[in-house]
Amino acid sequence: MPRSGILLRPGYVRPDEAADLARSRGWRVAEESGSAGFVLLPEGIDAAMLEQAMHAPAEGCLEWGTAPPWPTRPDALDLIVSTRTAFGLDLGALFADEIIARGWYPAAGRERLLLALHEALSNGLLHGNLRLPSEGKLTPDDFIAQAETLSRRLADPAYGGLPVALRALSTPAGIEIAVSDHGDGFDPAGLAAQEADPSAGRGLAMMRANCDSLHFEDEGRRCVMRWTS
Amino acid sequence: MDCNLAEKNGTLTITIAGQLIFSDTAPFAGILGQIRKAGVGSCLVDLSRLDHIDSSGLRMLLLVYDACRAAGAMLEFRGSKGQVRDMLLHCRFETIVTITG
Repeated sequence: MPRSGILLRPGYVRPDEAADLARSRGWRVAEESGSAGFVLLPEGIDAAMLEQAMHAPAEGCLEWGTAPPWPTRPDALDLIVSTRTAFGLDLGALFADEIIARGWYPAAGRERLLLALHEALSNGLLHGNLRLPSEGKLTPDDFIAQAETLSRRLADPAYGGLPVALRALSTPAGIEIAVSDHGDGFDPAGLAAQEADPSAGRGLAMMRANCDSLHFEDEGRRCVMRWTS
Repeated sequence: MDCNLAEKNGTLTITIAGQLIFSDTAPFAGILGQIRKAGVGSCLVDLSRLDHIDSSGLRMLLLVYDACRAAGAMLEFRGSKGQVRDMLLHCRFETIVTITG
């Protein structure tokens, strides 16, 4: 559900379209382009536009058609885009680099941040929003069939239009990043068995190895990772 | 992902450059199909220009191994470096594939 209190910054979407959207969702439109608030972006944004839009004092960026899955906070950086858009961008790198640029995490820790964030995004997109199976070993035939399913679902608004949301929060100890999807969810209690399966993917192991703590919320749809500076 | 296939003297050389990550799933499926059709006696995967790999990319390389094993073809990964080499060794690929360079 959209949250009241979201302030949309003009600049990338026509002012009348931003005003109409704000009115329909109970949001406000900022009067000046350099003010804080969320930057509303057109569908299918490119990396250069997103990188520019995320710079402070923006509280976050929303792609047209999405909304934050959590209450907004002025001390957080939020990024919400569709699955289809996320597939075309190196979202993890863009987000991690903005976190570092804001001084929320040291540049020396970039690789760890990026490795864990990228895997969390991959899981949220592939197994969350696109609902591709995550368990078991794939044969080459299975992989080719899954690739066809992936392409079909990316083009289908019911899947490709689903948003993925990232939130970064600077904490006294370091930083917290959440990745949230709209998938069917899963039981995090079953992860131990999956991780012990030698034929399983290594994504979760890579996440655990590259952050200081990790847990899941919202029945597995939100992954929350923490790093200590 | 940039990928090039070249066959010479019974060896299929697969050169992968850039990144090999989850968003390369669809294009890699096409590459996998070509590898299976090639029917060669050996495959050389040139990773010297591959800068980054994620867990999906590791799975794709494992599928190249599966395809070669099914065809009875030898497989070698050559030239891996940096994060890519670290990931291959961390996941113990050297126990199933010849890793050189």
